[in-house]
Amino acid sequence: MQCDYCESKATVFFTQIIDGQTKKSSLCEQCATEQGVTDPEGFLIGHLQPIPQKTAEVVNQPENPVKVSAPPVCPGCGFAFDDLKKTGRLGCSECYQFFREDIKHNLGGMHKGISHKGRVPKGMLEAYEKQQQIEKLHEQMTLAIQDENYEKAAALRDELRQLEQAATPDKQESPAQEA
Amino acid sequence: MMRFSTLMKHPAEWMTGASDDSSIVLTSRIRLARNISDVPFPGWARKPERIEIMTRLRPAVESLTEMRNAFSQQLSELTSVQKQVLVERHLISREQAARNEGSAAVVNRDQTLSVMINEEDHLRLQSIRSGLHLREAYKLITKIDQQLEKSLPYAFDHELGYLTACPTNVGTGLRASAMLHLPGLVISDHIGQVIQAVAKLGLAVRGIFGEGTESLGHLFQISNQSTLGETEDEIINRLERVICKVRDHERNARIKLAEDDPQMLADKIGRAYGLLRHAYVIDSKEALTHLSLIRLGGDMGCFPKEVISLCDTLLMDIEPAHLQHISDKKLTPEQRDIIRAEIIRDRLQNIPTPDIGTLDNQSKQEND
Ligand SMILES: [Zn+2]
Ligand SMILES: [Zn+2]
Repeated sequence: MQCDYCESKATVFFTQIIDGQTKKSSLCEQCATEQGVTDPEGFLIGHLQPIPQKTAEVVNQPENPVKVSAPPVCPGCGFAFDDLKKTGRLGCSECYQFFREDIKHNLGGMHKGISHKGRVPKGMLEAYEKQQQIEKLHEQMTLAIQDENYEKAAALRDELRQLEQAATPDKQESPAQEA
Repeated sequence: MMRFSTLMKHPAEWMTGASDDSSIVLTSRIRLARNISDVPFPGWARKPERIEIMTRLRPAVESLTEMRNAFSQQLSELTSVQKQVLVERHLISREQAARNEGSAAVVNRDQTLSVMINEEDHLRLQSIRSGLHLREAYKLITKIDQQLEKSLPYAFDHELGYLTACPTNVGTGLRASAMLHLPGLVISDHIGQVIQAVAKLGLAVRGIFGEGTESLGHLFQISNQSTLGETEDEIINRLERVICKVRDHERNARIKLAEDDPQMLADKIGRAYGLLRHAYVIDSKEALTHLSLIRLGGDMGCFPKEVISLCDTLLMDIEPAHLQHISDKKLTPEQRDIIRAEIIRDRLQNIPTPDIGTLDNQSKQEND
């Protein structure tokens, strides 16, 4: 049997069972070492790298030269969503904002759910709660103005100002870096 | 800061901490993936950016109380054998070993905690304990995480949790895993069923298989796959419940083997002992197969109890980079096989011949 990664003869057979699906890989000695498969305690066996295309022709896609519009890239780091398919990894944390819907679309199959239920870093919990409170006050203020209850609106505005002042240091986003 | 040689002189806590409860579950490990916001992930960052990020993160990690007198090195400062030794000790990952400038590893003295800087994520925090102690390991690593989150702007999103380079880790960023030694289930041919059952619960089981047969050293790793949509406690509890079940199955399989076919078991353990005591050339696969049976014998009373931790230390010491580190020179695979055999003979020389009678007794005792 041939190695999944190169032309050599496969001697190491690696089985992973994930979500009830058995994935068998056949590797030669050298590729097995490179992929970390031969670690006897299997501690560091991670995901195997995607198997490279063995035929070189696939790389050039001459049938599609008309493609003028470049795919959208993350303003934070210049990463294009298609790169995820190649590398399995994103470019920066801002990619999650920029490609949020595309990423979320794929998360369901990987995880138990699609929203975080675990721990929240301490400072961020406070900042988040503050943000939520600010949004709530904004809403109340708009309502008060609609009701022409200006006294209440003024009080809410003062409260908001105080909160926003306290929140400014974290809210100041640093400008996106040059790609 | 601790030197590499000092680090090597100290065995890891989880190698020597072999208590009764580590005879089936060798180790528990927790890993947290963390990133800081506003800078590219290590795999996408350019070299100067990576170096800058490392320079920022390293002092924060080194100043942790738990990292006092820690080992801390840039990957570019280590030789390839040294890197490989750290991999074999499970202190850094293979992925990190392939990196150089702009990547660093910080390891505490007991080797229970390691922090990888600029591996796949900006930070990979890891703790290892011997036996089944996932919660303890989680507590340990969370202490560090909570200190770091005070000084570092973690990339966090209220919907998606901790943001990671790979979407498979997003959410809690938590990977919990345990290493299990399951010779009883393999010999009695029940391992397939158990693996299938575990896999159906959405957990990953990994082993190394030779030509379609048994897993190398009868060692299996069970870990969570999903990191999003559950709390850390839910992930750990679910995994722990499953591991306890597998451990019970293994325990029963061992008892049943001793009951049904003590001669077969005695033969396997006796042959493994004879072979390892008298081998002069042995490759890693063969060594692991037989050490696994010695380890099983240790648990079933054929050898003194210390044999289990002796085997666990050997598992590591006979790996290629450890062999080269011990002999302080580069070795060809053939030379390694000779030195491996020598080390094994030396470590086992004071271990008496297996007391096979205990197999019979054990099954009788369990029946009473
Ligand atoms: Zn290959
Ligand atoms: Zn990005």
